Amino acid sequence: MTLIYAGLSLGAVYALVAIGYNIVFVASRSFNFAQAQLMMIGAFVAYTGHVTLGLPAIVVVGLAMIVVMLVAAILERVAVRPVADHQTQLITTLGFGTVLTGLAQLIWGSQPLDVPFFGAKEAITLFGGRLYSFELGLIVLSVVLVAVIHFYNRRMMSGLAIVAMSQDDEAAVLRGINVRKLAFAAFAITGLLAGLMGFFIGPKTFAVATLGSALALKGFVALAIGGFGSFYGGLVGGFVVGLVEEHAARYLGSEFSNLSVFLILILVLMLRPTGLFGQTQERTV
Amino acid sequence: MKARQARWAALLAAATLVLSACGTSDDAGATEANEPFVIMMSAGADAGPVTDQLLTALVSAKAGVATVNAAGGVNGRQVQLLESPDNANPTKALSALRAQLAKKKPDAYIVGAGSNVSAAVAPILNQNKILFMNAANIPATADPKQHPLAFNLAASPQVVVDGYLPEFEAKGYKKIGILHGNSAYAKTFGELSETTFKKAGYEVVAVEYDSAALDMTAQISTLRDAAPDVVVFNAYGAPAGYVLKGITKLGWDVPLLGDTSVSSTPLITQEPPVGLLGSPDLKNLTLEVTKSTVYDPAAEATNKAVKAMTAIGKINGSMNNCLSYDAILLIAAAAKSAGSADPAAMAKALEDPKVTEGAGTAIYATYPYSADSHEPKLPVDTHSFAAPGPIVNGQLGSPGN
Repeated sequence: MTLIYAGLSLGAVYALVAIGYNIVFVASRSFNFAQAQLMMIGAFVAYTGHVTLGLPAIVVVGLAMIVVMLVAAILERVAVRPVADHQTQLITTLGFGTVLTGLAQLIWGSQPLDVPFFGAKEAITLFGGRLYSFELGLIVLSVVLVAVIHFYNRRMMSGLAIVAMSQDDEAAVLRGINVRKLAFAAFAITGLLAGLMGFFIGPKTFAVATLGSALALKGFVALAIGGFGSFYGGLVGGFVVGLVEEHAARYLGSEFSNLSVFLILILVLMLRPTGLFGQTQERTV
Repeated sequence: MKARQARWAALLAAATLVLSACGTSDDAGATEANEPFVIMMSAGADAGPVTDQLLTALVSAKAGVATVNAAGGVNGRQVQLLESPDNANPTKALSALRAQLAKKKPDAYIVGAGSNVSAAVAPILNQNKILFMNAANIPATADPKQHPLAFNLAASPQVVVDGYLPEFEAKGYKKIGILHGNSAYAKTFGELSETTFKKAGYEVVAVEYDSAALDMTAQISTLRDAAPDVVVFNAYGAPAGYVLKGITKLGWDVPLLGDTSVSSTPLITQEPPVGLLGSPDLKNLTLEVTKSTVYDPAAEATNKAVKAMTAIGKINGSMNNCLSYDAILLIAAAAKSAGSADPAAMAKALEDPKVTEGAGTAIYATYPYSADSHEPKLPVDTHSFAAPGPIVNGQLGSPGN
């Protein structure tokens, strides 16, 4: 059971990255390759709020969310909006992520920093398995976030507008949807959530400047397994990656850990090229 | 007429050649004596997880330069440190070295951190006959047949591994667990540990982890199932924290011996909330450290080095990261013994134990090189074991605490 918890909590970290990728993808059909770095900044801000400023947990969460939202807004203005096509945005967001990594290193240094968590510090026993409260928090956060985003996209007017935008942005414009504004809002919300995610991820992974690059690839794999544009898919993909990684390391050896993850990815893409929950779209040619 | 002109021209050319040859020789001697002794060093401030090591290596090299220059330099020549801003990137290091060679050949080269950089620059340094002091050990630079002018500075993994045997004996451990990363050094450490411990009659179980992994539960579960008496582990940076938190999470009460990379990790040697020192995660941990990492008021050379280094900058991690200080002192001692700055003569001098013993080095008291091996054959007691504590100015128990 401990191994399953470890896999799920690690998978939740990847799922959170995938959720961030998905929000931007659904809204603008582009990938924000700086998403993992935004979460890394969130972890560092959580550290500063907790340790340096000694703020209460609720204020730290708010601080991390606002700071990372501002960073994401700058990202949209600097690295996304001036660029015409989505392919180039892959490069510019990747570059912005590299800048964020460098800045984090300059501000907080290159050594890992222990980010405190507001819950119990000791590991707890749950259904015969052991896990930390922040690991449980990560699993719950990822599930709740996906449910909330799903509800928002289905029930709220702005959520429906974003979905309409992702289907056909020209038609959305004709229906009076402010596509630019919504795309900007998607980035800002991604930043807001990345700040929240950083608050939960920091206690597990430590706040470290290399965290972004460690998360970016696996988050993308989770997204590809689950299906681009599907929030439930990203969640399941993240859990699959985490569980496969842990079980492969346990029973086959750590050298098979990444190998197994990518084998699963290839298998999924061979059987369902759009991912487990991805939807194929018919287009008139 | 033409023949007479040709004779005069030939005579003039010969005279010019002779005079210029004499002039060059004298000028070169005078110029060399006046010119600084240039030591190039791999450096930078943006090298990811090894940034601290790189910065500390530079601080230690600068302190070494200040110490040597204060004592009269290298045979009277002031030492000049030339930083290669490569951030421990082998490609950039190679480009910077080639660019420098195109301008002027440095007298010596130092790598303070990054074995990939050592591997990249070693052949070029060898080709250009430049003395190479390498703190990021690679097997090639320990072999005088391949690289006669290169010398490894750090203790060999074998010395580090041998250091555990007296500890096992003293504590009565019979079954040893080994947990190591998958970097080049970590793999060597793991393989050597397994071989050495088995040869010494211990039962061994070894588990490798991916240095980029964010969770160690699986690897620790594997080790726990084998029920070793003690776990020897190697980790630097965040992985050291993942290992310790993972062991606490599983509620596994087992003695832990962290190698020198663990003792160089600030996360382990700083108190909460910045680090884990004093937390339950470290209650079973003992660190393997070099003698110079434990403060000793009687260790004059080490204390002098610490003073020189802290006057210049910060020592991040432990004294293990400060081998570049010793590198500069060894170069000066070799040049003095050889009576010249000729790299081959200096290399020969470094193979003489009397030269390295008298160099005044701080991290290790001596660097026993030989004509057969340019890896310092350090005694086993070079390393000792200590409970985790705050490392200040590179040392446990430092009066700076």
